[in-house]
Amino acid sequence: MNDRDRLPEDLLSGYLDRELSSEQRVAVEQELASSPVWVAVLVEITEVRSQVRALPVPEAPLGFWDVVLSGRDPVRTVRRRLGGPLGWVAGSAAAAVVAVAFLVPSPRHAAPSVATFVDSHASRSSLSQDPITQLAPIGLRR
Amino acid sequence: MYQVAYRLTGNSDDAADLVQEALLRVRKGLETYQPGSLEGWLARIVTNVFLDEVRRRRRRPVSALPDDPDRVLPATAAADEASTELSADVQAALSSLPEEFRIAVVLCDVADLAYEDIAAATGAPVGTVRSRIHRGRRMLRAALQQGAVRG
Repeated sequence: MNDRDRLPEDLLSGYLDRELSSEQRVAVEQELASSPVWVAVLVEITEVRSQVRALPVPEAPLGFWDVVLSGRDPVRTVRRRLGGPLGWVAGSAAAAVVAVAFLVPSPRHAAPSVATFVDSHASRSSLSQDPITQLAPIGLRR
Repeated sequence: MYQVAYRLTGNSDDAADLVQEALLRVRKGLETYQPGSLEGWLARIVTNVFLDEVRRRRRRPVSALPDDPDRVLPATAAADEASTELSADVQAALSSLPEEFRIAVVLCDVADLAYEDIAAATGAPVGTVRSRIHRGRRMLRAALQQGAVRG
């Protein structure tokens, strides 16, 4: 058999998948009877085909079909909104805002009224003669 | 549909996106659907959505993390380590195929479509479909062997 007469090798997949005409089928079987190379290829693709067909059926994420069949579209839009590089920027910015809110002390604690503090201390400890009480006039002057 | 999407994309997030987009197109296309092979029609929509996404990513590359293989296995098989590894290897080999070969193999061996339906779904002649399936399988075999040698 010269090159021009040679059967295309992809007929082997057609043979395996039962997608050949009866004439093609006979031709492939004749080739298989005389060519160990074709037999080896048939064995290989049979094995690979079985491996792909034996792959487990993947499960969709929990609740996926409820969302999809309800006509809502949150899975994709939320993931796209937050999943890309801009999502990381937005996420980081949000985290920074939260961190600042918790870590930086409130302004009302940062600026105590010295006069009020000294005055109230003086009123509570005027009899104790403690050193802080001696500062009361200074605080009141401010 | 999810199974085909998962095998085409190789991870659950992209598969979920693909299915959602495909279903949106199914809704839009229902009016123009002509009675014929429903499976072939659905396969054509899934294939087109997948190829659109592939083209979009070529313009703006993003990386997708592959799934933990345990997550896609039934509970009974998850305990079987050898089976888990083999599944992960086969999926990795599948994901390494150029898209036209991957689509042909997945539509044939995962969706179990006839060559004629695959031809209708991809717009390629039946002879081209057969050639892509065959070459895809040979590439898969080579990729699995390479993986086994490296592993």
